Amino acid sequence: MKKMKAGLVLPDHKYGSLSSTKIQNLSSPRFIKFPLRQHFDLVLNPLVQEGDFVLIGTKIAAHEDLNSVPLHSSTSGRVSKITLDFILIEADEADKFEPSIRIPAELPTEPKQFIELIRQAGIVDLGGSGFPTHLRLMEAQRKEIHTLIINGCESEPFLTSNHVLMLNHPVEILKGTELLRMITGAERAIIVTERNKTEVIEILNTKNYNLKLNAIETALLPVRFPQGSERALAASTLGRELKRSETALDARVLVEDVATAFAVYEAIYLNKPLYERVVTIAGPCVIEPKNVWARIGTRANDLFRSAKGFLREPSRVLFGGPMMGEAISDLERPVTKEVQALLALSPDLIPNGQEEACTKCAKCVDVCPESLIPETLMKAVKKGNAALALEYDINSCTECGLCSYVCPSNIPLVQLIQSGKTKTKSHPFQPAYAVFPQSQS
Amino acid sequence: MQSFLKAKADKPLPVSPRPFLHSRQSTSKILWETIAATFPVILLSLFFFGWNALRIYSIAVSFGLLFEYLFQLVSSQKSRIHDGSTVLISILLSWLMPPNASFVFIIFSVFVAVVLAKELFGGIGQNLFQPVLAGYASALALFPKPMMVPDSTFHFSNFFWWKASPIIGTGSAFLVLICGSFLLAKKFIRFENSVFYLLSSLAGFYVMALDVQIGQLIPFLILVSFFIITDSASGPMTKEGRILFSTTAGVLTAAFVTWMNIAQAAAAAILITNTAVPLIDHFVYSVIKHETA
Repeated sequence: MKKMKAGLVLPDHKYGSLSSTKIQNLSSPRFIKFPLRQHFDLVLNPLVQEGDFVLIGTKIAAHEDLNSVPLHSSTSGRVSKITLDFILIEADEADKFEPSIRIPAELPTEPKQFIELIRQAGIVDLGGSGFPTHLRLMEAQRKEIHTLIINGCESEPFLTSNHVLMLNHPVEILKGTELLRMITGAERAIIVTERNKTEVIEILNTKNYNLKLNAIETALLPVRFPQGSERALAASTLGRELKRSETALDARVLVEDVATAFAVYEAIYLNKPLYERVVTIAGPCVIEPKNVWARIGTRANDLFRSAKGFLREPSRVLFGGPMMGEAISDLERPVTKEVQALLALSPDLIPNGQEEACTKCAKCVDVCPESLIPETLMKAVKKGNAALALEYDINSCTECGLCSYVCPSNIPLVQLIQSGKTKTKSHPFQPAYAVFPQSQS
Repeated sequence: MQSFLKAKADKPLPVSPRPFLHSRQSTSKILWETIAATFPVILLSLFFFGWNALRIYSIAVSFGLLFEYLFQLVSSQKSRIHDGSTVLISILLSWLMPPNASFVFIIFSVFVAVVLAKELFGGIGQNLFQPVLAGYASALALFPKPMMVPDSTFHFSNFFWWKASPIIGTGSAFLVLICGSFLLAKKFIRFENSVFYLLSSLAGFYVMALDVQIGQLIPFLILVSFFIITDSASGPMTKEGRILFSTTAGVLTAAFVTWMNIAQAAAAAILITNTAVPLIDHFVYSVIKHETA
């Protein structure tokens, strides 16, 4: 495996939530809220009505579009409210399961049937992008991929959800990986982690000794952000840099998150839809950082309460990691399938400097994993020069956030490049790159 | 703080664009640490040249700050004399002065460096030319006295201890090298600039087989390659660009030594190459970086 040259070693801040490697099961909160808006701006249609009784795993919303995935209830109780945007369910604390969640009598044989099962289980990319997994699998089949990479890198600071998942469920992940490999027809599968998770590789190898899944390899990579991005992993595996116009799938490599592999295992072998996922609750403002099985739709303040609340007032509350995540303004906001972590950050971590003039120190150029020149992109966007921005490949930016992180002049480079991307959408000189969503963790 | 969870419900939490971590570096911190790295050389020059060195440093720094303050006052900008960039320019300019530099010479070069080369181009980071060399070269053009008197008595020990150094910065090239290595280790300057400028100029001297004594040029070249050519604002952004830039500047320096003394040659070579920096940046990106990520 080839090391990535660009990127940066970030302070990892992972010790807090790793004080226990257990994944805590939580009792159901009183109210659970399911947003209906999904990837591709599809709005799901509710399949239940107000007052209906639902169980864990009941399908509550779906859409006839094949790009959509259905939504399943994560608690048993009564549907108390349905609006255009969300479904609210009041839990009855009985936690009864849908009877269909059981070990199936026989497994399907065709890859197509597997993919349909994965779609029906509501599985999306759990590594942060939330892109429906069945679409990626179909694309991978069409491109005839040769390598499947299961991404356990988790190079973002604070996040430990994949780490504890691999520690607690190695066999499930190995079996899920083998399923994904069979579905996509890849010759080999590699489970990749970073050097700070060496014990995970030992455990996986030991378990695989008995399982004898010979097509599955394991690999360690140096700790470096953004090693967990799709393009960086594909480049490491192939031993060459990807071309700008080339996606990982074009290079016949599929990258999936370990959490997705685990969800695929549960969907196929246990017939269990995706209604819960591992979420890291961490940050310097959280009293008891930990990893929990969060039911999809649990509101942020319920999860923070399970971590004993806040030590002091957080200056930012995030969904996702500090580099690629999103700050939320409302603690009532529910956790969706792609949220890997809930972080409460203190003022000593977040950027606080005044924006100053660029001194062309070229730190952003050094760290950029896509070999872009963020300084030129920033100037092009500030001047509104769309042609220059496109000439310097603004759409190759994966928005990993490293340029803003290193900038000594505190220039919000990522924000500017993001706004530049939307502005250049209508420009005639658009290169014909297939923009495929990146999974990044 | 359970109450916070409830109390916060009605008040929105603060949000900002990502990322939510920062390296905690700042431009003025880098500049002041660079200035700290120049202190050993300053102390040595004070020891060698005494009052003359003190006079040059104090005139250069005080007038540099005064010019910047006045310019920002006149152009109604917020004063940023505390960011250290003018102090650094003035110190580096002083290093290039001979111990007997006249008052007018110092003031004129500081004026050009700070006001014309830096502030008129838009302040810190916007300069097209390396300000130190711009100031030095224009003063040399106006007062064409031979500034670097060739010293025939140079031998190897002068690399460490050169009391008769023609300019006050090269009293010990070894010390300059150590201070420069500190900057390299802190990643404030790039090794491509320093190494390729030094090597290409020496290679140029060797190829042309000049009858100047190469030994006495080395201290000056070391000073230039670690503290002058490493200015980030007037150099290229990419690694390949920096290699191209420094090699060109080094070869030109060697070529110009045929007609002028080393100080003039280095200043002219680097200033000319500075004008090619936008071209180099564009060339490197369109040829090397555009296709492969």
